[in-house]
Amino acid sequence: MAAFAFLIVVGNVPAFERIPRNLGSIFRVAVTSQRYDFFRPWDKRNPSSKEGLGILVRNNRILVTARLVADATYIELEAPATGEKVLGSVEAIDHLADLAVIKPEDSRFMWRLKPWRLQKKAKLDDQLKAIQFEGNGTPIFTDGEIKSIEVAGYPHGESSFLVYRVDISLAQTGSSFTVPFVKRGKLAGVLMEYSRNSRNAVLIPGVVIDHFLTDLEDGHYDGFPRAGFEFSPLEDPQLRRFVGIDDNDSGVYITAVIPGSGADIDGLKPGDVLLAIDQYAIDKYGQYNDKDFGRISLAHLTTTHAFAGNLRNFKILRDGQMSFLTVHMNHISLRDYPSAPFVIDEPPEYFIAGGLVFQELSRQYLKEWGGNWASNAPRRLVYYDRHQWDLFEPGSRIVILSQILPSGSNIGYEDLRYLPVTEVNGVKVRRLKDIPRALSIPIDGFHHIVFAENPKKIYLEATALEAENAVIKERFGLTNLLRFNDN
Amino acid sequence: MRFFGASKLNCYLKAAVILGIVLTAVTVSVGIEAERVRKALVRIVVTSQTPDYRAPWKPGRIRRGVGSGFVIAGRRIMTNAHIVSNFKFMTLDKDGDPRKYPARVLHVAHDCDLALLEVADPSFFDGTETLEFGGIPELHSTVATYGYPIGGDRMSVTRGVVSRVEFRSYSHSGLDSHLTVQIDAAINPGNSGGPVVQDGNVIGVVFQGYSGAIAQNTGYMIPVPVISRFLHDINDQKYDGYVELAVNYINLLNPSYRNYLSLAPDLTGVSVTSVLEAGSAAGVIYPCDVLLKIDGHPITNDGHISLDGKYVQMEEIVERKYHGDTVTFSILRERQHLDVDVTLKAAWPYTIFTQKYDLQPRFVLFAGLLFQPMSRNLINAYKASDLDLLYHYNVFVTDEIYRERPEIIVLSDILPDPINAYFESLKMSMVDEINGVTIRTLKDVARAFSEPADRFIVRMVGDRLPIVLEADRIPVARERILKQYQVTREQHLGDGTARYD
Repeated sequence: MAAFAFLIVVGNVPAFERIPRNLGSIFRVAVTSQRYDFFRPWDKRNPSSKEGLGILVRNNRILVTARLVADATYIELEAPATGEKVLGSVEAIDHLADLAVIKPEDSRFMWRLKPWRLQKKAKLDDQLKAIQFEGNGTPIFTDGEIKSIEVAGYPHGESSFLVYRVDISLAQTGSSFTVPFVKRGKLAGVLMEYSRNSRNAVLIPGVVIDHFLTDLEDGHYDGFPRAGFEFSPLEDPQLRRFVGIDDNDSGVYITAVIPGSGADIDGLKPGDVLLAIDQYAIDKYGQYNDKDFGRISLAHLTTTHAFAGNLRNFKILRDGQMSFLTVHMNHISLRDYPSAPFVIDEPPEYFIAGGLVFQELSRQYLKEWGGNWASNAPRRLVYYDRHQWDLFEPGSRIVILSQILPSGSNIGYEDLRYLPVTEVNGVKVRRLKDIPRALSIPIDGFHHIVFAENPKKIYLEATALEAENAVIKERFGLTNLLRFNDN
Repeated sequence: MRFFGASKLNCYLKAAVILGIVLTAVTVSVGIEAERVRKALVRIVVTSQTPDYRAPWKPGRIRRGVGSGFVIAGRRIMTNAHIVSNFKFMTLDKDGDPRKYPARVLHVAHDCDLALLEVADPSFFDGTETLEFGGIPELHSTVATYGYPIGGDRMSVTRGVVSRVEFRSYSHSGLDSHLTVQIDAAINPGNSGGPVVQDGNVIGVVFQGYSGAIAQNTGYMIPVPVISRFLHDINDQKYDGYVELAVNYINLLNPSYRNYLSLAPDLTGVSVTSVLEAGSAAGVIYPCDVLLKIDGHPITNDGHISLDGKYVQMEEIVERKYHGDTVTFSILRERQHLDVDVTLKAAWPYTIFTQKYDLQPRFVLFAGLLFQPMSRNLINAYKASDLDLLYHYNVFVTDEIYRERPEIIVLSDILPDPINAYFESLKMSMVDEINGVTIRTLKDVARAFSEPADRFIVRMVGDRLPIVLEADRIPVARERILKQYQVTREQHLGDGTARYD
């Protein structure tokens, strides 16, 4: 039915060549989302709404960008041509790769619709067609050209995957979330970012989408793997001679290895020179020659090119000696980060005792300081986040006293905030849950709370704290004095 | 001769609306004070040369500035430190005298923005008056400021009331806080260094204010206690500067904290949280000590004392002391009362946070790489924004970075040359070691580069590439860089009296 309606519309615009078919398998997605307020972790912000597109892909899944459905409380799918609506829910989401799939509540919605197949290869100058819709359902097609194919940072800044950069002038209609770009009737990529001024569209390419969907096929999503190291180009001939490379163009310098990662466990060390991964020679900029995409960063080999648990053979130079390491490509779980790069789709955890608000540090919390958070947020917390792998054990967390809700028992302490908590009642604090556990064992009736900086240590009477909790809850209208996400 | 006080003057002026006769009398008396101040007031024309931290081998930018000053006892002229900072040449003008008298700085106190000048030509003092100092003015009392601000060439007088008396930061050094008096008299550039007068006596020196865009009628003067301290400090012909307790404490307003310490309700004070290892109190006062009294003055639970009938922070006691003086604390340590004496000195690690003047920047230039110790001047000159650098600067004292590294050496800039073509991304990073030797001071850098080696390997703090410099390439590169960039000096390590110990 929907497909039929589109055929009529398409018939009205004969000027376009290679008009994509299968427009009935693209939906409008209306999302109401509600973010949490990390400065008031017990509160949600006011709801806001977003609109984008969703694309039917294999296994009856509707593909969207993760940011469209982040913190969603309500998702509605609509066939643009017929206006038919159905509720949806997020089936799987990968915030690092900015991808998610939605499942409609009623699968008859997709009956007889044909999923889009993925175009997984591309080369420079390929022509792509973007598909958008007018408010009345009329499709708009815009042509653009791939200007570069490279590995670049994705929205949370934590991961780098392949992107296409496309020079295109997208129509100013609706929202640009998940605008599909097609090539020869297949989905080549979806829009991740667009700058109207520079006409630069950044796409999540088919190969990254395919990885996401393939990972999902066994019903369990593992996530993109990574080797767990950072590198710098080896450009300076003096440095090249120093590390013992005699040619002019190979190898990168390993500057850091994430503790607990595959690279760490399998023996890669800062100072090593990485010469090749499997059969791919790595040049001094960290690029290799990919059969589908040309010269791109080695990060593609260790992320999109691999699945969690795969092995890669690293050819390295250490102290002038060549050797080989078999390195596991593992997914680094959000739970491993001492300071999570984002907290989305789950509420922030907190624990309030006697008006003292304890939270775990995360980049999401730091981002409450706004666009320039890295300069504006408390320096120590930003430093802890930036250097979390050097400063803290993987899997442990950084607990902070984020603020104090004023009350009789905490008079004199009311200005304390943003303080990392290292110890409570002699118990080392490694996660938020340690706080209630430690507070259950006061020392001679007193709680001893130790911070990483001045005032270093404060004391609170255990009985005063208990007595005050109900008052604080009442006074500030809190529904709960704590929240722990069970996981 | 009788002088009318400013507050009396206020009353007279109100009366003057009704009685024209009184108005005449007042005019005369104001005229007398103004005439006397006029004879003490000088206009200071300073040519200064500000060192360029981004090209530290250069002598710096030459600038001319104007400020005010006044003659005090001992044929000396008082003004602000910021007027005469980095001065190369200076002349004094007197109202009604066309001669320009060359002068020089006798003493300068950058930590409280005061300076004393001397004039070689004794005839300068012909016909000058000497001003005496008064006390701390009362709130709402009227004061007059004298000086040579913009807007004209002759002496200017403005009048206002005392709005506030409190501890405030002195922006000249960027770190120090001392007593200040806020007045609402119009204060403008050029007023700095001029006297604020009440009852015919100087009760302050004008020194800072806000631009009209931020706050209006808000000017600040350095009050007499700060001036007296300066004058007393230089009695031995040497300015030592302020001393610091270098102790952090937390208030004892919290009932739980008090109970933990088993403090009787009538016992008040503050609880020590940390003691600077390089400070006066190290080894005498310890964390968890409760400070009850300072020189006999009971300390309130939020760290105040009553001094000369005024409620001030307890630091005011230390403010008024000098190098080598002692301050006595009554403390409670592990429930025992005892008295301890702290011999006061400056806390050198804090000087990283102060703006420096009258000093050539210290640096080492090697293969086009500029190495400089981290300082406030450096951060300001480069508008440093590197987060790791700023973090280490911030916690230099609190996290006792200075114990490991008395100076944090920064690769602050690179004069581009083929030998250093690939190091751009390392700018503003901190040096960890050179050829395996940990770099603790700028001298370590100079020493490391003077050792014979095939190559120099400079490693930075954090996950960064090492710098490799091959020794055989350096001489040619050096010639090229010195010529290309007109570098006249490759290092300045200071005069040997390191600021750390």
